[in-house]
Amino acid sequence: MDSYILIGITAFIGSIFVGGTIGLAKLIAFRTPNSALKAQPFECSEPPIGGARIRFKVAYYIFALLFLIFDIETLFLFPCVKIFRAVVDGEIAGITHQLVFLELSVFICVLFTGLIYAWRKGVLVWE
Amino acid sequence: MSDILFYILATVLVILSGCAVSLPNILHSAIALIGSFIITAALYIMLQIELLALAQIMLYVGGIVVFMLLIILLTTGLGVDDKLGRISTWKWISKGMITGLLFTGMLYFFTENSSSLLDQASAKAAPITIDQIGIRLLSTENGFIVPFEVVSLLLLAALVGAVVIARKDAEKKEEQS
Amino acid sequence: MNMSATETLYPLHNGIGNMVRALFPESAFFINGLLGLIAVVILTSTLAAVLILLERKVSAHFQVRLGPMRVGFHGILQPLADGIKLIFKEILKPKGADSFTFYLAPMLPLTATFLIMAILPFDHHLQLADPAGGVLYVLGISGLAVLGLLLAGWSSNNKLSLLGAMRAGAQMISFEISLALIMLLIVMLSGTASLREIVLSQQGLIFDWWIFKLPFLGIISFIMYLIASTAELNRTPFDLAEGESELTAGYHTEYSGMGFAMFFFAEFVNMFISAALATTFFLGGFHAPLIGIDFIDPILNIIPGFIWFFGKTFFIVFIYMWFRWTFPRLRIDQLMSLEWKMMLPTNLLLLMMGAVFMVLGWAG
Repeated sequence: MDSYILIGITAFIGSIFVGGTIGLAKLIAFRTPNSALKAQPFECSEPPIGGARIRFKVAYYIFALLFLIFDIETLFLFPCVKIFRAVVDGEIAGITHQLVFLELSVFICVLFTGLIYAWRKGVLVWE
Repeated sequence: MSDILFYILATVLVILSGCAVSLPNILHSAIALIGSFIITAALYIMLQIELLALAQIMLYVGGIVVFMLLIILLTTGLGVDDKLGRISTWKWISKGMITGLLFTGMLYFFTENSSSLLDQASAKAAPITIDQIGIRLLSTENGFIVPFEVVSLLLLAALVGAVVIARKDAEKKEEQS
Repeated sequence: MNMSATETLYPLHNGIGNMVRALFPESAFFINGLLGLIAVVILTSTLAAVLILLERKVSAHFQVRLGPMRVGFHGILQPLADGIKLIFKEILKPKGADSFTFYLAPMLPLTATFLIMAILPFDHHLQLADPAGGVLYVLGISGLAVLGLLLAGWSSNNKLSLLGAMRAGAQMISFEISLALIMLLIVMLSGTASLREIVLSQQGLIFDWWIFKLPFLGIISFIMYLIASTAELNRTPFDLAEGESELTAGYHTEYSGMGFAMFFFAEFVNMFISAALATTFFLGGFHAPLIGIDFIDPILNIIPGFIWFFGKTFFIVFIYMWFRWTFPRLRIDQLMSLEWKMMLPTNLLLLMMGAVFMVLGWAG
């Protein structure tokens, strides 16, 4: 836990350092007079047509959802995977490595089935 | 020392959560939400539950907020120009009263049951390590071995749901064209 | 927050750390931490400069050019000159950009790199902090970088930025799954999630490193790590997010001066971090490559651990730069099918095979 005190201080000082650098640059940087052209978003020197916040296709949503599901899976596997070596070495009483192996296999196989389902339904194709 | 830190973190957490529900720009709300998630993780660290804190960072900041940002960007140009509607003062007051009532109720409940709840919490608890959680998750007696497997089924269901939503969209497009 | 308990756990046990401990026994924890922190900040800034010069030099020599030559001996002061130039450049903000997000976004990736640099084990006792769940921590913090770039793309009020950010976001979250599963494999093999203990689990000869340990499994997962981390870094051949020919510069199109420099620095330091993690997970970290011959091993052991660490890390950084000039850029559909149809099933399979090897007792 004590590592996290240092990590907290790192986060604090790191963000101050980064913010300070940007602030300093903002203060001492050269400035040119403002003009309409200067504030124009750079789209290869063409004047932009329409708003910039355009609509995206649904594929992004699907991949984000898949990511979320596998992220949760990683998180659930993590504590089990971490004690696996201790279990195999027989350091933990009451849990056999056959049981843990079975658990991990079932968990991964269920998600693998899901992946294959998504694959067969063709959502893994980026059109 | 840790008490002062807790009060600082809790105050910032309340402010950021307030911002997350009340800011007119939805992206700014998302940023406030990131901040509140990170501070929640810090509170978990102070409670010495490492896995929960890391899960908070990994899943909520790295997963769910990214997901939410993608969703916000996916919906039609929700930019600076068209903000969410302002909430009227009357609504603010009524909602504040409901929140205050709930808060007072909880405060009353916890102080009444202080003998069992508060003492337990205030006693310095031993840190909960990742190994302990892993053993608890996999042990057959007094463990969570069945819920652990059910989680995989739940994730499978979510995945199938996502696929179904995506397919429906594709079929609709075909009908339209 | 118990002081006596903190000292035993604290990994900075080198000469300076012990001196501070002897001089100020009461506040040694904070003084050492502060010194370590300053070292990390300086190291990060220096590394960014070194890596930018290295990238330019390596690129130049791959193309039979000389690269920067004017500033200092063989252009050695070029990054310094660039830095001074960047700090005096005006930070432009396009019309319609969201001020708060626009200035917040470049801060996130570099802060994330500081946070990861703080837990890298450079040597036996040269590590700022060593959380027990270091692997999960790394995975979580790298999510902050994705956030930074999504926010940058959105706040710029530029179509190219937004497109680049969305592509980069989709790509990075996809390949993060692969990275996480490879890291899980290493956690399973070594039985610990702290980076320092993962390195210590590879103690011994060169054949005890995880890359050579399992029959073929180690080397396959190492190669997969290289591919996944290249994609995670948005480097060629996976640099669709900033494909110059299509998107000008991707998510940082609208950033100039220091705002751009922050993204640029974070990108380069992230390359170092990925390489350092590969060293930690597969190449034995700060251990010398002992080969079991009596008269060579002592000579290898004389060289301090952090030199081995930086040597191995820069070798992998060189491999990343080599990739850039060897492979052509992928299309986005190829990229996605590479991750979801090849890397992810293979990674799940590797994890299962790792478990089988552990049960059979082949994993040492």
